[in-house]
Amino acid sequence: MRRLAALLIIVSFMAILSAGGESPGGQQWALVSLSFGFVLLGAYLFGDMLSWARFPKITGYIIAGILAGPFVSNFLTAATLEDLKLFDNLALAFIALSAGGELELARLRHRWKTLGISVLFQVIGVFAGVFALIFLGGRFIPFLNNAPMPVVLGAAAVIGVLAIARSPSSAIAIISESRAKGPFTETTLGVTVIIDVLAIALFAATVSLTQAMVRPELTINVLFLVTVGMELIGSVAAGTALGWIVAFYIQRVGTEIPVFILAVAFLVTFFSNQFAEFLDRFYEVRFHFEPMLICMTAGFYIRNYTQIGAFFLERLDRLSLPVYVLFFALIGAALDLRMLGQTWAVAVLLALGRGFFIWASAWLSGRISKNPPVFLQMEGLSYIAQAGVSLGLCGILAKSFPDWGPEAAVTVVAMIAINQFVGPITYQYALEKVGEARHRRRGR
Amino acid sequence: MFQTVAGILILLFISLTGSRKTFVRLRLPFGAKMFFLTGTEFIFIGLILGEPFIALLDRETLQRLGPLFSLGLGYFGLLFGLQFEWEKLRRFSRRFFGAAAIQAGTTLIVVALPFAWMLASGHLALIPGAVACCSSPAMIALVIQETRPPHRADLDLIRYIGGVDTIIGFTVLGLAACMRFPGGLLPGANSLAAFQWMGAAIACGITSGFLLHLLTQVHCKEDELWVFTIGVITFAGGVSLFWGLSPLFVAMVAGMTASNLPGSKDRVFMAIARQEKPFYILFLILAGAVWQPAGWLVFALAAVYLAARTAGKLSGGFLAAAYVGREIKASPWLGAGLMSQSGVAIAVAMELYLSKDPVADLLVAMLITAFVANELLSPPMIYRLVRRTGKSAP
Repeated sequence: MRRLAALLIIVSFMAILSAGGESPGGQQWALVSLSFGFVLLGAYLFGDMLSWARFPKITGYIIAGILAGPFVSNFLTAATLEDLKLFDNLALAFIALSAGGELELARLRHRWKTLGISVLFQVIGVFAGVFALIFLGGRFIPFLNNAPMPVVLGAAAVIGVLAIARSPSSAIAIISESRAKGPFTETTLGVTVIIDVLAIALFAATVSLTQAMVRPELTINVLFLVTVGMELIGSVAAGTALGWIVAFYIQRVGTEIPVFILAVAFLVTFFSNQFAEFLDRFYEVRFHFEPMLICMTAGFYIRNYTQIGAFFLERLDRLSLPVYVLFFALIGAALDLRMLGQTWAVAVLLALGRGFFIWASAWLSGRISKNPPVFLQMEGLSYIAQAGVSLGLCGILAKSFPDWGPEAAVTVVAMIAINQFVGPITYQYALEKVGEARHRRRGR
Repeated sequence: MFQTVAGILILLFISLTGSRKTFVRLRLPFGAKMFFLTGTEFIFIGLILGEPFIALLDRETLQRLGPLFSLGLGYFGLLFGLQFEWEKLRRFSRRFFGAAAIQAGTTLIVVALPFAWMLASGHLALIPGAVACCSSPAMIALVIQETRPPHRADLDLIRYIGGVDTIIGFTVLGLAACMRFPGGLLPGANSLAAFQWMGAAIACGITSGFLLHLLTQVHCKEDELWVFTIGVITFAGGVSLFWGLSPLFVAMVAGMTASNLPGSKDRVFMAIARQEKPFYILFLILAGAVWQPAGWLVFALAAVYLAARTAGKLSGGFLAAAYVGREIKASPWLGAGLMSQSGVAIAVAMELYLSKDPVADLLVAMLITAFVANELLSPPMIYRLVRRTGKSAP
């Protein structure tokens, strides 16, 4: 009741301020600060209330973001969202650190076979399934209607790869929220992280092949493939170095660790983007370190190759709640509902198809690995969520194929929106069903 | 952009490592020890990073750090407000509060008058007056801790005034911000416009404080506490800046409201007080970066400010001592013990820096120059007073 009252106060304030129009104080960043506080409080309270109906809190944060965003109440305008992007990137890098830190080699070592089979089946099964869906239903999809065969094939391949991508950020947030621990949790998180990294490499290869296929004057762009390979290797190397620096700081200085970790997350994102811009502007070289991969590697290094792994994770966990609230609420606010409205039919079909192929692949790989029956049924539900990397890849898709890429990207973004909404719910359900979720006791 | 990132990196590095390496009991002569204990050296670090020297934290970069200023201002306002629990203040004699009001009021008038004449602006003159009111309770506590005098009632009085005069300073600052508005809050009602906006600022602060209370009064987990506290700080700061009110004042009212309602205010206070050092150092560095002490006018104004403040504090202290004279025998040189300025002066300078007042830059430079000079001069004065009144055993 008290939290509902608090939420009403915050919303009333925002309604009054929004109705008032321009800031009389004339401070250009007053809105950023205001929106930051509003998102943090409003989304958390909304998510908390929704959790009473057994929804994951992050679903509540996403819904709160949608409601506050430019397509519903416009409390968070498009310009403010752009300003808040900085915090969004920061949160993503932070979550990647956590995701890497959760992968403990000592525990995963016993499950390499299960992990490998699951990854293989997921990649092949989901790709093949979605590819077939697009290829066969191409004439019913607006942007592929009347398109020549190479374009249909190329689009099917690219969207198929995009369907593989997962959301480690959602997975780690749900695990953190439900305090889940156990073999199922470790396997699903491991598979999610590995597949997300693989998706980047596969996407680059597919884009290159598709370009050569749809535009015969182009040959396979080897340089593009090499660049992507270098990006991945470079990101892993940078992540290892970063892990060493963070560990060194924690061991030698050891003060204000949460602030330091946040600063590191922020700087990784910032430097990655700036470095890419710098190379593009001065040397016309397109090379981009992947901040998420850097942070994942850093988290993984600290967890597995230093003495402070557990301590580091515990510190990250203390800081995680505001980060998750902000990140998922901003994802919700940024969801383009207009776009979803235009392409919802294809997007829903794609999401359903993808969900089915994920479930089927997981079931099959689980059978081969001789997993317990409950794992067989639930594993597929753990991989639905999509965000972050897939959204970034959609941007590349739009740029790489100017004829049909932008429309395809719109459809895929709509599918990702559905998956991002449904995925956390199904993953939490799965964790509860396998008995690994240990929700925190509520204080009220 | 690179500069922004490098600037943030350096700021954070110095703040984090600095909070560990300073504010500790160093083996140094008394004056130098006090200098390091107040962290004044970070202002010089900021100055070097700023535009006059290596220009890493130039004006453009500082503008981009705007939300950080807002968070910091809200943080300090709330932290200060949370300390004013009526139940605790009531334990002291009412005359103590009267003495604090007399001392702060006298200082305000003595400082604001010459500035009103020089700047030809009432609301701008109130700003140095408001800063002058504030004393550093931390410095007083440090000197007392350093000199270990036996318990004396007038030391309690100094400590009390040092804590309470900031309320008056922040309130005047809040009023000064409200005086910037040409019209009233309500359409068509322009009489007492500043007080209408002041009412809005108080209402905003009380609502924010009530919000914090609502969210934390029943036990909440540590991470939830952080979400609520940061959320309320930034929300209140954003609302204040949106309306052009003083974030320090609004956050202080929020803190005072929360601290006087039953709930887990102690946990909130402890949670945010733990982060005080990095925030304070960050503000000191930023203050150094915006500090442009070039030009005789800055030094002249700083000299006027320091002279007026010293006169105000001494005369205010004299009057306050006379006022409480019936209850306790206080030193007529009480004002000397209140000479040190708290980090509040820096926070005010930062708030002023964010305002669009045409003379803001000059006043900011003047306030920071005066702060530095004051922090160098005031510890020996407090030390002498404490020795004289407390027969200390150094």
